[in-house]
Amino acid sequence: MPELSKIPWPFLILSFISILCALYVVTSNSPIRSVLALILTFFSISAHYVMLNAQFLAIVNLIVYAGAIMVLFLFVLMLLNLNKETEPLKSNKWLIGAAVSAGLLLLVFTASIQTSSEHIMRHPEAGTGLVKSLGKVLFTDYLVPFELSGILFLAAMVGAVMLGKRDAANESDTEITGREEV
Amino acid sequence: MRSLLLIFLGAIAILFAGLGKKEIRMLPWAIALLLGALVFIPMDWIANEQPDWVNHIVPYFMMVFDRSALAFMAVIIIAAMLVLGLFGQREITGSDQLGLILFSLCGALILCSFTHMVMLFLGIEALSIPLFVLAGSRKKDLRSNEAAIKYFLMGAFSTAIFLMGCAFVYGGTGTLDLSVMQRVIPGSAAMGGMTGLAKTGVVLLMTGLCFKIAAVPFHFWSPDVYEGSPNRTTLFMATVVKIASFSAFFRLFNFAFSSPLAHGNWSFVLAILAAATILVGNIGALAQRNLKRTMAYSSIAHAGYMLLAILANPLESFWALIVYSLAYAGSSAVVFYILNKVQEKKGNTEFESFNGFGRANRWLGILLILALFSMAGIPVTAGFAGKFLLFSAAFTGFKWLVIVALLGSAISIAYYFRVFRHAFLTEADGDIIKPEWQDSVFLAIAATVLLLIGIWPALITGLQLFELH
Amino acid sequence: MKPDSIFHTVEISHYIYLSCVLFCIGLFGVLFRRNAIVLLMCIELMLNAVNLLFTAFSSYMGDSSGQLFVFFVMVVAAAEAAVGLAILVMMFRNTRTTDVSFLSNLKG
Repeated sequence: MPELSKIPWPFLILSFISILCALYVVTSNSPIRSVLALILTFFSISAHYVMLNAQFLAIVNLIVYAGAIMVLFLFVLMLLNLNKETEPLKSNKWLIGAAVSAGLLLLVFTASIQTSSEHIMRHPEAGTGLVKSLGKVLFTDYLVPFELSGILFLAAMVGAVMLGKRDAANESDTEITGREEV
Repeated sequence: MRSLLLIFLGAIAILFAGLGKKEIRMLPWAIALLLGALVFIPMDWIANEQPDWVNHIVPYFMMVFDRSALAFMAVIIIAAMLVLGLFGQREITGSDQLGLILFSLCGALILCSFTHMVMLFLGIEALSIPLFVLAGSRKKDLRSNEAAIKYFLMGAFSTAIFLMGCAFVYGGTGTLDLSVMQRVIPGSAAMGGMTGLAKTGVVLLMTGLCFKIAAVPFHFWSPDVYEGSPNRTTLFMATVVKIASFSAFFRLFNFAFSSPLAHGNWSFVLAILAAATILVGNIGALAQRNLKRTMAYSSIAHAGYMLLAILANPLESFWALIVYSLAYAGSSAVVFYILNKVQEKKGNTEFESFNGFGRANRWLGILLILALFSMAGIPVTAGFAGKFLLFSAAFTGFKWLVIVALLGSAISIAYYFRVFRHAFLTEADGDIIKPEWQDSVFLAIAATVLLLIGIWPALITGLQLFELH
Repeated sequence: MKPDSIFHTVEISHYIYLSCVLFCIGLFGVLFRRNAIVLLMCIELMLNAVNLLFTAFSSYMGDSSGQLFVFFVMVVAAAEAAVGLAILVMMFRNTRTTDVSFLSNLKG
């Protein structure tokens, strides 16, 4: 593992925040607190993006993840009134099993990084992450995937409406239709 | 390309046509659409090049419609036609469900033709997202709900693992383009082999795809999801989704990671997974009392056989995989049709519900025998041709695996025979089932495919595949 | 800090370690938690770890394709979250819970 003292402090602080918040997301008993911690994690990851010169992604990350997806989560949690801390946690057997498998995976990752991280070529260019250069590539080379993501959204929208809309037969449901569209 | 565009535009048209107040029967239109898409494939096959206008509009296309892609596309469209044709008449088919099936089909076709990781990823998602919804399309049925949520959580989880694999491969090779990757990986041999990043990435990609094809040990979701989903969705998952995922698997591993160096890294792991899949699938199927669940386990076992094609030399195993996929799609369609009809009459799919089925319905009984024979791999059916070609392609490299596969096929005869025993050798009176004429047409198509390829496999294997990626 | 100095002081491996740790935390959550909404959040966390890794590789290699991939991952994550929450709400209407261990009708 690298020596901590050589790593610059902004990176250390941001990483510390992201890992702490991520742990809180996973361990907190209240879903609302999990969502809020997850939003904080996304903010710190956005800050990492800024440090990596990926300004476009930093903004999109905030708008899409923190702004849209997480608000959707919050809406659903509040509409379903799920903030009671009712979730019975799994037994210790599960805790140990999950921790061991996650730890093993981390070990595998660490081993693979240590043998190979020096292979990565390093020629950063300052302009890579700007809207101008990304947009140019997105609308030329990546045009087909871009259109395809349109199909994906259409399919997701139709699907969400199909599941959310009320059948004529059951009128006794609570008023929770029509909230899925992003 | 033209078939993909046609299906996509047709899906949108069908969605919009469903907006009106008046109920229109969309199903004939959808089937006509698929027929049209199927007609384009021989045309593209003869031309064997991308139409020029594509290159003019988009300089870099990220898909290649070569002959290997077209062959898979044809199989997938035929499988989808059988699903729509056999299950559309009675089930409530809103235009939204039909549109979702066609969108999912678009994803499947992309999985046959991608040359870039972005397209692979988007194809997998376009294939899965509509299916999450379709698995839960019986909204009031708790089992359908459970299937949807399990399928969704497993799908999203496997996507995350697959993406981690993409990221590692990107870090290890510096590219997301499959053809560049193919060139970079042998080059890294000079620098002491594939980097650890790329190796881990390949294993993670394999894990993600194994979730999709339900290979052991990532199969645990599939019996529950297959049992809980509506019959039509289950058939779609078992045939179209599985074949499309295999086409993606085949293309990725035999194109991007095909150099001997990379092949040595992943082939052994995959061989062990294939052996485990065959054994667990077949032994699991023996323990079931419900035909739908048995079919889920048998589809796990079939995935194991199809994994042999990815391990073997791609030039030999390509047509074997195509023949096997066709046989698998045809026989699954027939079995699921009969299963659906019996479920309509009896309300469940336990083996006892099939008692006396073969005596009451002569023609459907013969079809059931044909489909079961094809699944078990008994000669003169397409399943035998497919298994024979697959096993002989894999025999040079993986003798022990072929022996395991033969053992698995022997086990499988036991549970296919159990269906046969209940349908033909019991004294009970079965219900008489009258297929509608549309159903009969598609059943006849499935039977023709099963028999014709079984008798004359050279019809397909004789086709010339000039360049196989 | 000057815009480019990060590339000279922070090794790429630090970013890889960070995102691997985040990914494994997400994985731990998926295995350990039972509330379907929290499971979905853990999966989003895993996707974000992947995004961070892609962005780090892309920035260090000066290659924009990694960042575009992240863009598509975000698109798909949004679509997936919409469908997933719709399925969750549907399940909640029928069972009045989002606990996944409640779901055990299908066994055999």
